[in-house]
Amino acid sequence: MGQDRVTAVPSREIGESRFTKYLLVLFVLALLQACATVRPSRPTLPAASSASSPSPPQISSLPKTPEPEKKPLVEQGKIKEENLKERRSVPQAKTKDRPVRSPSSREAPPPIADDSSLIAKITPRTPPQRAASLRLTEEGRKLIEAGDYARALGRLEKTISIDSTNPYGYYYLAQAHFHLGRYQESLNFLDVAESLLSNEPYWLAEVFAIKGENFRALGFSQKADSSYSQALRLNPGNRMAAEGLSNLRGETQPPSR
Amino acid sequence: MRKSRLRALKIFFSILVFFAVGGILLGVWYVKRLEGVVTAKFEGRKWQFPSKIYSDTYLLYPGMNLRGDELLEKLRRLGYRESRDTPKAKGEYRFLHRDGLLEIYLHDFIYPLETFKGMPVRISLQGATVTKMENVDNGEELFSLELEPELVTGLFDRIWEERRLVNLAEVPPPLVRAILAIEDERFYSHRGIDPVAILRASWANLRSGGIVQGGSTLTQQLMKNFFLGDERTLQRKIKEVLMALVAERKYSKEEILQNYLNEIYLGQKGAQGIFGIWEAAQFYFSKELRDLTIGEMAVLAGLIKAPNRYSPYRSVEAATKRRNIVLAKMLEEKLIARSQYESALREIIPQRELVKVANDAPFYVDFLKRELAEIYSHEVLTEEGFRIYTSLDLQLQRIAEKALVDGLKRLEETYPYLRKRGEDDHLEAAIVVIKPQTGEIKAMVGGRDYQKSQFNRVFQARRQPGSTFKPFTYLAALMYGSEEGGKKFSPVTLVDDSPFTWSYEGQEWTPRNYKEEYFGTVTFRAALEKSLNSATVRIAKDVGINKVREMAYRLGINSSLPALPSMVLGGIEVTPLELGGAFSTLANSGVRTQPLAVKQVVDQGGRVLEKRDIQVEKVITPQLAFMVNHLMKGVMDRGTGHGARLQGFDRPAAGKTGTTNDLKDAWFVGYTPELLAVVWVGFDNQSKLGLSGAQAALPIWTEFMKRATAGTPVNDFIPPPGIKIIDIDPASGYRATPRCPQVIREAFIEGEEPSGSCPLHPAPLAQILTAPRTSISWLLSPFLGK
Repeated sequence: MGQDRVTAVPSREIGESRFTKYLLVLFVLALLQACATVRPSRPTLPAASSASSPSPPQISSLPKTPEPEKKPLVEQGKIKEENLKERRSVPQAKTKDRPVRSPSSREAPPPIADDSSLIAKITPRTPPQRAASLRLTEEGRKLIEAGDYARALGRLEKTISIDSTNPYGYYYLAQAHFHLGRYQESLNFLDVAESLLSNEPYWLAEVFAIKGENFRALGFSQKADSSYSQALRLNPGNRMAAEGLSNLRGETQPPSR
Repeated sequence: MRKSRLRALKIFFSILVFFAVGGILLGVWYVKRLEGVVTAKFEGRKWQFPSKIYSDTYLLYPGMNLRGDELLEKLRRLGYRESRDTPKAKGEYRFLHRDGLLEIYLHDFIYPLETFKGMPVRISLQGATVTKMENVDNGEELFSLELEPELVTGLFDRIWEERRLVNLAEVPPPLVRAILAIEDERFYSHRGIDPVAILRASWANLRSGGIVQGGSTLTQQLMKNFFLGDERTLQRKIKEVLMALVAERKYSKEEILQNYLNEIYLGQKGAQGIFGIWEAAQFYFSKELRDLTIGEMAVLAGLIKAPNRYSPYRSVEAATKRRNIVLAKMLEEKLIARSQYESALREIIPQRELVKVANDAPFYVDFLKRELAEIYSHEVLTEEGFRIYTSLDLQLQRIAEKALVDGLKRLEETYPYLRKRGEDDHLEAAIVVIKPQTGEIKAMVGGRDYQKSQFNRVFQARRQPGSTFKPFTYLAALMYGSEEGGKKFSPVTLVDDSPFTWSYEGQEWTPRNYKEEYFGTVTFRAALEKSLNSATVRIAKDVGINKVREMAYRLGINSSLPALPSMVLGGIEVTPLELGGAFSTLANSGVRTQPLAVKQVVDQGGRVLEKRDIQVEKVITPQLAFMVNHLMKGVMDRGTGHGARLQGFDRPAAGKTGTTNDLKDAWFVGYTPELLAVVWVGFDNQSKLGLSGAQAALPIWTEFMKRATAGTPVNDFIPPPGIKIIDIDPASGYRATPRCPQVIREAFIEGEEPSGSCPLHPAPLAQILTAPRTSISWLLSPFLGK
């Protein structure tokens, strides 16, 4: 009876005459404006982009459905996120006296300033929920440092209860779970932390470094390598990633004769 | 003659000896048996300790907004007492309303893994906002403060005995002496029974003509409490005496006294019986034993005779009189000096409000019991004294219960045909409240009256979700696009809402719209906002049923879903709990959590037996989650959920109504970024409800959310990177111009937003010239490319 099709985005045709009139009147203005504005160039993806971020965690409850032929929007969304991070992380990199470099440059990226202090992120403008969440995160961090992972978990779970947009809470939860040997849980928390950290290369590097640690513990060498490498691209000074990568490559190197 | 008499005597004495020996043997056997019973009790498990269920803690931080008098009510429920002066003892508080100062002397509390020592704190308030918190002792500023959880209920067998064991060394000697002075002054000199006391009591009873005095020793009282009932029979009395003698022979005075001090019944707190001296000190004075004054010790000692009659909660006057008798006895026995006696007499017993544990949240507790039953037996739970920490928020629980009960009553008043039509034909409802970020189940109401029906509709009732299932189709459409041709969907994609028939696996199915109203060509958004069946099913057909099903599983539906067209419109069965869990994933930006009710189980020794952590799993991108949330905000603002706005709920929120085709189930699932609630209304026996989700479930949801979110910060869903929000004319699906009569702020994946301006309402030339960018970019879009 009715049409059982879905109409795609229509390309609407505008009367040619109207189109031409507008074009004639505004063409000069358009040229002037087009010359004045500079469209930001889209950065190219790094060569190892497909391997740089780990695949989504396995969902045990899902039935086994065949892979869609078209690349799903989840992956597209992921790529777009990485694009943005790539685009934004470079100009935001805190350097002392060096100018901003584009990611396509062959020179080594500038060192990233230590952005680890959570308390320093609390300013008079910080919303109260975020401030409380950051302080609890700091308490959790101290408990992790002291090796009291169980108590750290309790404290850190409160941080996301108060403010679920606090990426550091998720990061330290991931750390606590990692130390308790719960690698998959750790990776899950890191996924969330990553999606909440948009332009903080220091912290993104930390996230990827621990991802590397988790993958290495789970025996996924290639994923571990990619994660460590991604961390070092974001922050060449990330010690965990550097040591992890070095150990990993040492482990996976064939023994010399 | 003589010989026969002698013989008779011999026989008589033989029989006598026989019976005497027999009696002695029987007596010895009986006493041995009693000894066995006493030993088994003394050396085995003496008492059962019910496990206790606690609510979640209450966290305060600077900048936090409080809901009205929520904090003060919370303090009262936790047993804090208002004081006129600065709080000096644990469990006191003072609220200086004019100065906006709340002073609390916090209780001690044993948390899993750590013990909190109570301290005095000061909270500054500006209106309902916490501005500052500090430790009064050292002036240290506090950036977070946790109020201990509330005791919800105990898991006990027949009666709830609240008891905490102490060693004799932990009981202050004056208290021990006071108890002995008033109850058994010759305790240390008798052997289990006190003939002097018996004689004195008998004389007193004879004179009065009734039983006014007891002559039992402490040991006898202990035996009675351990083994014997309250009936006053000779047989019971003899048994009591024998057992007391046995106990005194086998055990030391100290052991007997210690057991006595832990055993005695000392009051009632609602369903909880207060047993043992430690519990009594807490119940009456909120103090540790070592902190009790002489007067307070005398009160406790005086309670033993008649705990409820002399309870300060019942009558301060009676309690004071009894205390004074005990004090006089203590002075007489030279246990205290005269100065102590006079000082104690001057102590004023405070008038305190009895806050009972009212066994709140019975449906929630049932849910917990089921979870716990998978790990622990009933015996273990009722005897081992576990402490069970949960996610329950009693404040939200009360709000949910009231909203449900009031909502159903209003429905029955508005629609008289819904009123009770039989025992099994009663309008029912269910509410479950979840915190999306953590998966914590904050409240659960499984029905309108637990006393009448304990059936928990939140997790036991499997009902058709109807239109609440539609968002899975829209989400799958945004994520996968159409199966054939790979066409993408966006909120402005035009879809056809006209009648059609779907041929699937040899069967034909014609989805029908509500009231047979069809809207022709509509936008993707409008189809969801108006909950149009035909349009939704067309989209699902295009996307593929398996993708829709996969999306539902991915978000958190656990029930098995048949891959049939009817699934698209919710023609399957789910529980409110799993539906809430699935929508929580959307509310939590695509991160799925596990429903969490039991958080920790700790044994009496403080060992953590069970710990349930928050679990997260990113299952869809935050961009997709945001887009669907943004679409469902439209349901609230313009669509079938608009009634919530008319009822006064104006916070940013997303939601979906649900009505089954046969009008047997009415649903509403709705959430803010911080809180999600699912409401179901219907009949257990599947009678026709005849009302939509908007009519039946939405008002209950709205009432709950208004009160639950009152005073909390207003937060909106935050667009993640990669989302572009632009003004759209819904009529054309293009960027709105100033002439467009209707404008919607629409969310797109960055790069997929329409670039052209609305052709139906082109902007005038002057505006094009002054704001050239939009128009020019539209003009040049064929050259510049998308």
